Amino acid sequence: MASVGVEIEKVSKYFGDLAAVDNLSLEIKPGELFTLLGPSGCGKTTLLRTIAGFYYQDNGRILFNGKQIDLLPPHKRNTGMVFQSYAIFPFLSVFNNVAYGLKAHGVSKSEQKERVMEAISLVRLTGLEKRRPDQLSGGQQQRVAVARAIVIEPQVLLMDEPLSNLDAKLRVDMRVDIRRLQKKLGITMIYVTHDQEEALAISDRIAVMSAGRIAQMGSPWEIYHNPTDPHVAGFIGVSNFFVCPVQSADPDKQIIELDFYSKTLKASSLLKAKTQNVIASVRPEAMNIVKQDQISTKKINFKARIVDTTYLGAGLRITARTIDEVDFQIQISHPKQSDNIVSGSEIIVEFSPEDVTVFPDESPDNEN
Amino acid sequence: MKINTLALRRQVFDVWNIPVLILIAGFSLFLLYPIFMVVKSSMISADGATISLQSYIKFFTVAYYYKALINTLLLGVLGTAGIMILVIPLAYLYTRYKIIGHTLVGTMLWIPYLTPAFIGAYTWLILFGKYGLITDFFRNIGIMIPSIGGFGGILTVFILTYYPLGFILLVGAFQTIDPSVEEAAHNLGASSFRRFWTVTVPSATPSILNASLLVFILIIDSFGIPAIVGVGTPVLTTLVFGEFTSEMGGPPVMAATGATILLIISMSILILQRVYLQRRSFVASGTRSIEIINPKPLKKIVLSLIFAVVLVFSLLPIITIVISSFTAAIGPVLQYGNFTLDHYRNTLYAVVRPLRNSYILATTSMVLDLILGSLIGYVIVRKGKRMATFIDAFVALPLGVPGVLLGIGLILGFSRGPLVLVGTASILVVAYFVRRLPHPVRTVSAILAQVDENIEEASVNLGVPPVKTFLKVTTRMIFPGIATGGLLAWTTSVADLTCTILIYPARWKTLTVETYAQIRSDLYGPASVVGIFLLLSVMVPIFIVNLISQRRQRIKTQAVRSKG
Repeated sequence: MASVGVEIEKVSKYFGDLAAVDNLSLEIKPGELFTLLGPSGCGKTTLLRTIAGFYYQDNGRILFNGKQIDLLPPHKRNTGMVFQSYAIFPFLSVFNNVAYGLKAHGVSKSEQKERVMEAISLVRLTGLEKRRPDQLSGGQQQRVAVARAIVIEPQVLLMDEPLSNLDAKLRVDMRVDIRRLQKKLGITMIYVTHDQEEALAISDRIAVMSAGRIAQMGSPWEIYHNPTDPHVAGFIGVSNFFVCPVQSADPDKQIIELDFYSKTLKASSLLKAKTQNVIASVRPEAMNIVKQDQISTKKINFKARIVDTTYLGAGLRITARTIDEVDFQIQISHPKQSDNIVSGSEIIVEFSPEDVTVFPDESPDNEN
Repeated sequence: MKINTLALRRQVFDVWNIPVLILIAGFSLFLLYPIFMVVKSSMISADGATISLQSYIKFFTVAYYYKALINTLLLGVLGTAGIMILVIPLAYLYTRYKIIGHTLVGTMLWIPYLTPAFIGAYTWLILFGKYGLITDFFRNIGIMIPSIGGFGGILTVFILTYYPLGFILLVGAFQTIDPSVEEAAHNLGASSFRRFWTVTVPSATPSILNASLLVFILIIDSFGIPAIVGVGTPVLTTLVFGEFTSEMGGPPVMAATGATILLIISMSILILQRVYLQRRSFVASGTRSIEIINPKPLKKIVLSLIFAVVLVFSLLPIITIVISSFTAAIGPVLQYGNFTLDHYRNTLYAVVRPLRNSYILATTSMVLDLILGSLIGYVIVRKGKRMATFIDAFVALPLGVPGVLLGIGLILGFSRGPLVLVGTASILVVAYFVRRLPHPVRTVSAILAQVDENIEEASVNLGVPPVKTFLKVTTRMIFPGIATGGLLAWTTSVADLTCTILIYPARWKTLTVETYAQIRSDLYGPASVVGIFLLLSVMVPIFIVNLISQRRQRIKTQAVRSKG
């Protein structure tokens, strides 16, 4: 079956006065693994359920391959949905759970058997066909839910936080499996999650949602490295925000010069010098602690004091405080015990200007 | 922009409105219209032409009438109080301490409630009546014990018959109290006695009041017990029955008046109970449940003895009825010690037809109840939204409508005109259907509220349309609710006397009517035989359903165990 493109055209969905999805448009390419990412209440599940037909949008259109499908009832949309709770039929065996949709589509008995067994082997459950759902582990139930959704060869696979009920280790294994399966089948998939790490790991493209709108859309790399606003930067990974006065700005050359603790920080930005202050955002892992004699002239450095350290096994997370009492985080990947990183000690922190993302400062006292 | 253009385009007739419309039409015709007819009849003036409140004035001024009202209210209050005093310590002990045969005792305590009330009443009469077995026994050894009968008799039998409902409700309440609250009291230095009165009882107060209201309704609507035990002590139900059967011919003004007063009382209690239930606040927050303590041997024996005494009283009616059915009789007097099979030989022919009638009527109304009840339960939980509260309250209406009132109302409303039910089996089917519909609605909606809605959505998502999904998936998920609802509807219909005795057509005599007739004719031997068939009809289905659900539970536990 050829892959299907999905278009969402200015879709809104209200619950009472609240716009759960607010005039939202996006386009998903055929065969793409597209993720809707955001905190709970951002409208991602509402959008997914609207695509499946469990909600009807109040405005806008939804199209599969250019064909409007939003007037079809949910059972005629041919989407395969995997629910957060799995929603396995508890009174049917694994085989009959997977065969359920094929029976509804009037597929012949022999073809049913062939396709069910194939789907079961795709999710690596061969041998468990006769089991009852209550005899399966959480991970196995999750696989049954996936097999049940893909066996009907849906136009689009819809995944609603499918891994959130699994333990951390299994979650990592399963997301690899899901991506592999999606690429193998070449099926278009819309994946909903609140877990930014999961979204970065699994997706071709991500739409970060907030209050029913898309805050930013792009590849995982773009979302992580070039967040367009502080909310996205704060939601995806950890970001340190420093408010800096602008010295000069040249939007033509995409360069801005900032006063960063009395040092001149040249960063790339399209911002004009209209505002007095901007926010310079730096990821904790882009920062490093250096000794006095190791300072590089190509990098920016500043003084700070360690407030607290958290040992993460694979690394060390340090909370430090600047001279003007701003707390920020540093992540070191290969800490040595000899580094003598203890609370209260004075340090020099260093980072490259390329690792800085500049956002306009929208706080009310920043007016010029 | 909040113009719901697409939703408007999609607005087609929702199939789930159909059961709601059937419910509204059915209740309007077979519940509200009969009520209206009774209330209307109560307001017919002596000349038969105008509307007046003369009958109410007469009711409250003539002792013969208002005494029945006073008796009813007194019995309701004293009976409820008596049951609560008995049941609060019993339920508390049962939830905290392990006694000998714990589960078995818990199950057996149900028996008086499952026994049709008037059968219980008549066995108490056999035992403790003026010439009762035990009364005689004590008289022969020179001790005079008070015989059961009159006001005190009715009160005693009410307590002995209806305490299981209070017990079960309170066991449920005491089990859901968050144990850490009690532990906190203990930790703060309160003694067990102090803890019980200052923490446990106040925590259970909403449940105690709720149970009290339900027991109160049960008592004031009861017909069989006062009719059999309380000769000379009129209550509203017996008064209404007596007035109605003697007033036949003219408009049953006084019967209608009594029934309307009874309706007002039980309806207010029902409303009070529902309003209260919605505001009950002491819900356990923790997931931990109460631990049952295994007491020291001496304490365990004492506690077990207490329950043994209660159990003996619970089982006495059944033992008595079984023995009586095998005991030879000379006239109305049973000759205990002389066993015979005569009653079975002579009565069996008289049992077959009522048995068949009862089963046909109860099964027909149960099937109707289950179909409509499951759909309504589904609509309340899944489709209701704003309408849910209304439908939920509307469908509970029959619980506040006394059986005698519905009986009279059906006769008044459907004896002539376009729809004649009087004299046909359908009047009984209609009565049972309306009165028992709340049961399946409640059991189904309770189960459905716990079923993950995603399971039904998964079915729709896989291509099965909503109505087919309801039949293929939802009915499977709510089957336990359907089974219990059906069981409740069936057994209570088979055991119904209050309403049946007013409306049964001669050709459709039921088991309860037959038993009652035998009791009234003082034919205790044959009455016991019919009574045993009635008892078995109620107990066997309950036993079977319990067995199946326990087996299912066991299979489930095994499945979980084999997984781990």
